[in-house]
Amino acid sequence: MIKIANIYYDLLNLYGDTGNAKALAYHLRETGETVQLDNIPFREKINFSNYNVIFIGSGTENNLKLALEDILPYKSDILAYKQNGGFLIATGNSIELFGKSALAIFDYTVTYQEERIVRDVNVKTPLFDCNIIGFENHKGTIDRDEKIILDDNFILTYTIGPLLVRNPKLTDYIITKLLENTAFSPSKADYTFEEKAYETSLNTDLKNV
Amino acid sequence: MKRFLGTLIGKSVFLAEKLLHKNASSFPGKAVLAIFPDYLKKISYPPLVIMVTGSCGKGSTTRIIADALRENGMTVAHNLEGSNLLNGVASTVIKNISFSGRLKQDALVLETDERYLKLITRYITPHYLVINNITRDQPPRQGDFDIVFGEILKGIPESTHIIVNGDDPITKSFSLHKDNITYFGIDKYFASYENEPNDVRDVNYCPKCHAKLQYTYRHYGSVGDFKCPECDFARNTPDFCITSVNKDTNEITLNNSKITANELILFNLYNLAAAYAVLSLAGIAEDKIAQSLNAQHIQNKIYKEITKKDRKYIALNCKAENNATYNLAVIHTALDKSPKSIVLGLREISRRYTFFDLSWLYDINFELLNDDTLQKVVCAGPYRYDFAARITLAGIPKDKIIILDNLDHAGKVLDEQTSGTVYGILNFDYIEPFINSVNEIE
Repeated sequence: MIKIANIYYDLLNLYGDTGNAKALAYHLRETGETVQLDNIPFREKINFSNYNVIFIGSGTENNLKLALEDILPYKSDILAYKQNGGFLIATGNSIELFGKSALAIFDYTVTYQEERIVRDVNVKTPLFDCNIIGFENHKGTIDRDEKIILDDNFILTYTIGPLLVRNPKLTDYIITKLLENTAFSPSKADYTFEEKAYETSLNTDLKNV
Repeated sequence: MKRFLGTLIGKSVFLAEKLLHKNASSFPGKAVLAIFPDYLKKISYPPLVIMVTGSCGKGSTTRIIADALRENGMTVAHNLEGSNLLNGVASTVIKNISFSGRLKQDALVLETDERYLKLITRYITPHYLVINNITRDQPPRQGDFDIVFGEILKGIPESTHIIVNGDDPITKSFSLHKDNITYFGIDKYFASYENEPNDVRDVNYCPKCHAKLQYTYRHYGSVGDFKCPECDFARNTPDFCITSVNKDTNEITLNNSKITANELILFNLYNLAAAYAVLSLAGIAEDKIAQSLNAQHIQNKIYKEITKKDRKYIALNCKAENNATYNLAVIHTALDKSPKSIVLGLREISRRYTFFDLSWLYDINFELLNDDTLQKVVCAGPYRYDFAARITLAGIPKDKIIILDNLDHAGKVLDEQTSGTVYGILNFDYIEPFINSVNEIE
């Protein structure tokens, strides 16, 4: 059984971030694996060690502040979870919670600009041979060059929303790693629609379709 | 003198456009403001100025208000839908102004863009400002609803009386900053529900003290009868409230009036309640308001129904990048428990920019549609696979999904491959192709 938690799901859900947990659970089930997906509300206790995958999404500035206050006491739990190979997928401005002036699990510093950063993303990744695509919409920036931070099984990116739907290769990468040591032989997940959508969005002439 | 010259230039541009058969409604305003930036400050405005802002329905509400005022004997200047930025407002003023610098109408009614409100109210102070709703809308442009709230707040002049949706904790929270407020709302009606686990809600926590809000019912998302368990923040009973909605006759009760609504999509009801509230505050008798708001006068934008070969085809007009409009269409469709098919599609995510951002599809509760009554789902247009992926994740079986490149000549597919009532839950740019396709069915 794979246990997935969508933490602060009722506070940090601004840009379709809930789609990620849905996509992972759906395709994991296709492989034959049993999945438990818990939507954990703000202020409810989070037992990090209970889970294989944790999702956290973007929020308004005010809601991110509320989440920060709540998540700070979990610092050692999160570090232990990371060391034990737990997956954490942070999308949008929730990555700011893990930086220097917050949980300090990563050493990046967040600064805020007057203008929001709003742009399409299309970047190389060391994980597989095609690019990761997506969309960014945030006010803060971090002092890191890479668009997607990978460390142990933590994946942090300003890319918002349904990252795993738009990048079936990334979903498959996570599923493969999650099922590495399972006893059963997993069936292949079906990403037909996601793959076609991925191809379509690389088509720059979309406006003229 | 500047005012006179500005008016002359603006009116000349209007005339030139007319001669050239051009219809760029914001251009005369743009031309005048480029030369005389303070032009709008020097005008004497009518004794009644009403503005309407918010994420959805401001155009419709503006039109309802303007029409009702006219029916009650007033002359009204109002901007055309979409000309709601500073230039568009300036054009409206120029079009209606006399050379002595007076707007001669009895009332000025303006639809105003939520981000531009603060620029417009720098020059024109409304007596009444209606704030319909603040929803997730055009995120690349707007950021988020908290930002929009802040921008609107900055644009409300001290003396302006605001009329807001009291069912929505976001608009209700203007009460934390302003005193001069009237609320409109809708009591529990047939489409309200108690809890829906798949809702993505804008607000779950009290804007005042951050305790979790409690609800007795919801109309959608975080809109409904809310109450903070820790402080005094609550919906309470709105001043102008729709207390009953008759599903069969379309008759609604609003305060002491009976009004027949054109259709019972929630945003239409809110637009009526908002218009009713501001008209009443402006001194129109309630029976006169009710008379003017009756359905025959209100142009229908959200809902169209066609019957072909004994099957109903319903077009529900939604706005891309705005989950609330889609969620209301989904809730409406899910209320029909007879066999049905769905058509989803859009041509352009936005007319303003070319960003590829479909994250809002995940804020739409397509899960509500996944039951045995659902026959087929047609996903059409350039984003057909994104729609297909989304509804698959809602649990809808893949064998119910039909993929179409676009909706051109899709009548045959709709007729032969789908069954039951067909609901087109469509972006506004796919309504026409859908209706054309349906009309091809013979």
